[in-house]
Amino acid sequence: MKVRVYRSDARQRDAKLIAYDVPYTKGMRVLTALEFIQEHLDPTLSFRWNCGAGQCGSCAAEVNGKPVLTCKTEIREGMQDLSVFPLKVFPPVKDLVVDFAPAQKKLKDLRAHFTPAREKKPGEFYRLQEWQVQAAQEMRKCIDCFICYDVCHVLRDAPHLNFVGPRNLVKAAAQEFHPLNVVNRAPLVEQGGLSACNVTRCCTESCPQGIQITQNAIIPFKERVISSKDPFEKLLKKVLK
Amino acid sequence: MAQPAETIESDVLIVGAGGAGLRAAIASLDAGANTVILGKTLAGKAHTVMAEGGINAALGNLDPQDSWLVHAKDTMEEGINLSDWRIVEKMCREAPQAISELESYGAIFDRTPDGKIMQRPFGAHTYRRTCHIGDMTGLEMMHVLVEQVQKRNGRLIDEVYLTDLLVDGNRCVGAVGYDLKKGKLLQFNARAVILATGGYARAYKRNSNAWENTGDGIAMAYHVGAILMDLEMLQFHPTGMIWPPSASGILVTESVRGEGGLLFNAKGERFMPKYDAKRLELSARDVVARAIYNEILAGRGTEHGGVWLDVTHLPAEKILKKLPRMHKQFLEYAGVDITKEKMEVAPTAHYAMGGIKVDPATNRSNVLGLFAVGEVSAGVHGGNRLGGNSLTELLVFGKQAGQAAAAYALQQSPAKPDAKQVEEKLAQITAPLERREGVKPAELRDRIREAMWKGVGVKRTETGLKQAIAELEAVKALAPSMKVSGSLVYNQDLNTAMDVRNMLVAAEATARAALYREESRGAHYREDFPETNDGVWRVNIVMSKGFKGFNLSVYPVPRPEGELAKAIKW
Ligand SMILES: Cc1cc2nc3c(=O)[nH]c(=O)nc-3n(C[C@H](O)[C@H](O)[C@H](O)COP(=O)(O)OP(=O)(O)OC[C@H]3O[C@@H](n4cnc5c(N)ncnc54)[C@H](O)[C@@H]3O)c2cc1C
Ligand code: FES
Repeated sequence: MKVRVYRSDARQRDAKLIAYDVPYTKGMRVLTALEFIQEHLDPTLSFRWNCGAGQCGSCAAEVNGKPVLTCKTEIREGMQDLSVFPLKVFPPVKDLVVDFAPAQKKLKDLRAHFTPAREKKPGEFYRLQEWQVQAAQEMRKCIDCFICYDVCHVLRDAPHLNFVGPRNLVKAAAQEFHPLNVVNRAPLVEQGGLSACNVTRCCTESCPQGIQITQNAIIPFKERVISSKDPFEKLLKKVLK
Repeated sequence: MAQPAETIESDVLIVGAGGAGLRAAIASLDAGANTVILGKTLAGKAHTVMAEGGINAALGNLDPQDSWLVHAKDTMEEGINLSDWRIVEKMCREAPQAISELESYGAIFDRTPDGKIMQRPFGAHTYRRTCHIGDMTGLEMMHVLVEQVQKRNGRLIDEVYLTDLLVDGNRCVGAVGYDLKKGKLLQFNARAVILATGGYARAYKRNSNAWENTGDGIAMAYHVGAILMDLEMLQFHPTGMIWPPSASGILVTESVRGEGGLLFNAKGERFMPKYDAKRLELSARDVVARAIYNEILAGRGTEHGGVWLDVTHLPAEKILKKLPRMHKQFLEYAGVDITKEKMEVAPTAHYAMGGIKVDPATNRSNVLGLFAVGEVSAGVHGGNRLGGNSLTELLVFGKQAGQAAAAYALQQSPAKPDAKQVEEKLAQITAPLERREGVKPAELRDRIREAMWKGVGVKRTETGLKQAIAELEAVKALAPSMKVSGSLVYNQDLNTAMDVRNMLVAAEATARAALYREESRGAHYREDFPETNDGVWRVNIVMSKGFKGFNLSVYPVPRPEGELAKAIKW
């Protein structure tokens, strides 16, 4: 089997696609093929992985044009040609390794940490019902693999819009939907370019954790932004206060 | 000569950004210490994310009779009289507080019908006390801990591989290593250092651990004179995946048997009644692991060298509801639908009970300024770990270590590592890159892993252990001639070369301690000494670096006092 892997350094000098001959074994993952290349054909090949079990989100790459977790993606029997590229929209580091730091930095502006009304007393426990926590729990399944960034049209085609990206919205939603949260992140995500997203659901379809990103994170935020601008709702809020 | 490209100063340097390191960082930051925390993988992706089952605390939400004392008793009994009762008592008393804190960091546990934290039953616990977030407890824990470190503006640097500690006399004053992404050599000056580098099951051919768990902390500590303890105690989880090879070792959670899964050999015989007629498939982890191992050795194993774990007799809906992650895992990794087909499983190396010996009240090691916490430390689990106790340990002692290290650091003069020592240590990183020829690091790594699996595995004998030690020594002799091509930038081969250096220490210590302990206890099983002998062996085996390799001796296990003394047979 031929496995073509994208090779480059951080400055993308001599970026090239190199083809390696990898013996196929049944049940083989894309990550296994990369390991084989690194250990037997070219020791300088770089790629990331850690858990090898689909749980840490370290190993994402574009395989035959589709971003996947390489540790989980089986190479089907009879597949002759495989191409592996790094995730797009991130600054390259080397070969399949990219730098997530810019995306992580943008997360800081979204106050993606727990913001309750008051500090809890030591030893105190919250009383929360299952139905109250489900929305937030869905968002917390995110393993930060950044596959959703690779397929996001806004990030790919309009980098100047400075969009915070689907994963960061999921992180913001994980806090916003905590039943005890008191911070309104709508203005923050709006500043983060939320309006540029035209809900094509590409991120949702690519999520290996099956998080309904569009339906359950992006659209609720869009609704919050709209309602926070609605003059009637503004008035209502004032009156209620 | 090798020079650092950058020197990073801090009061407290935390090596390891899993659950233990992160919790320590929060405590150290809260104590006002300038704190740097680093890991060799990406932030938030440490091994701890893989913890599925949950975290123990005697909250009594479902079983009000539960108390810290029962939790402590269960822990001591599972540890087969090797745990340090002071550490166990502290952990069990403070566990509820740790859970409450985790909640205040924003963690959302599964709930009971009346809105409290849900607790599930786990093997060998008297009561239901394992708090959980579905089967993703570790992930949620990591999320909120990282958020809290960032909220406090802690300096979290990821993808830095630390290779050696720096000492000034008997005081630890920092460390050196390299930044994977930038490809730069780094020096860290610190008034106190906390090791939170996790375990070393990666030293075994089949294991459930992440790439990063290669015993680096154990090796680094050993080289500067720290005392190691209980290294022979390595837990094998009875059920890991074995097929396809790329999925080998991935954990098949205990809940599969908890929900009614049965074990069969290749001849279709249900074999657990032979080994434990009472508890059957739900016997202690070491008993089930040995039973499976026996069946395979006796020629009753499957084609790929395992046994069958079967849930097909259960209703499909129950499997999908109770074991969703396992259903997904087998479908995605093996193309097996567990509602219709059997799972092929075999024991997998899982957890290191042993590690750096620490002071129960501060997590200090015997080296001044050097602390250790989490799986890299020893004391809680003794001869066997109770499922769900590790995450509890990370939080309770992460906090203690962070506070103690900060308090110590703030009283010290600035660290001034010796420049020559720095150069020497850095040269060990660059040397393999400069060699024109030599052995491949991956080759040595595989030899270590094979030797450990064969000789220091589920069942041990004097001959097998001696063979393993001989093989490890042969590898050790070759290690100085490892050759790595390429540069310092994201060089996986270089990482493997450093892993080999570290794994060798942890592996040899394990094999030597296992050879020394001439009895069977918990996870350590000697075919030539199958009985447990409390008269002679209720001792912790400790080791440290001597002039000619490992110095080995024994300490009697501290005898429980106070309330625990009354609860436990001694
Ligand atoms: C599949 C699985 C399921 C589990 N389920 C449970 C469970 O349900 N409940 C439970 O209590 N326990 C469970 N455990 C055990 C538990 O997950 C671990 O013991 C625990 O997470 C260890 O945490 P730690 O913080 O000590 O180290 P780790 O999480 O292993 O983190 C180690 C850190 O040190 C860093 N590091 C290592 N070496 C270096 C170096 N040289 N330089 C720089 N950084 C370095 C790593 O990058 C990482 O950041 C499970 C384990 C496995 C494998
Ligand atoms: S290596 Fe962890 S998800 Fe692939």
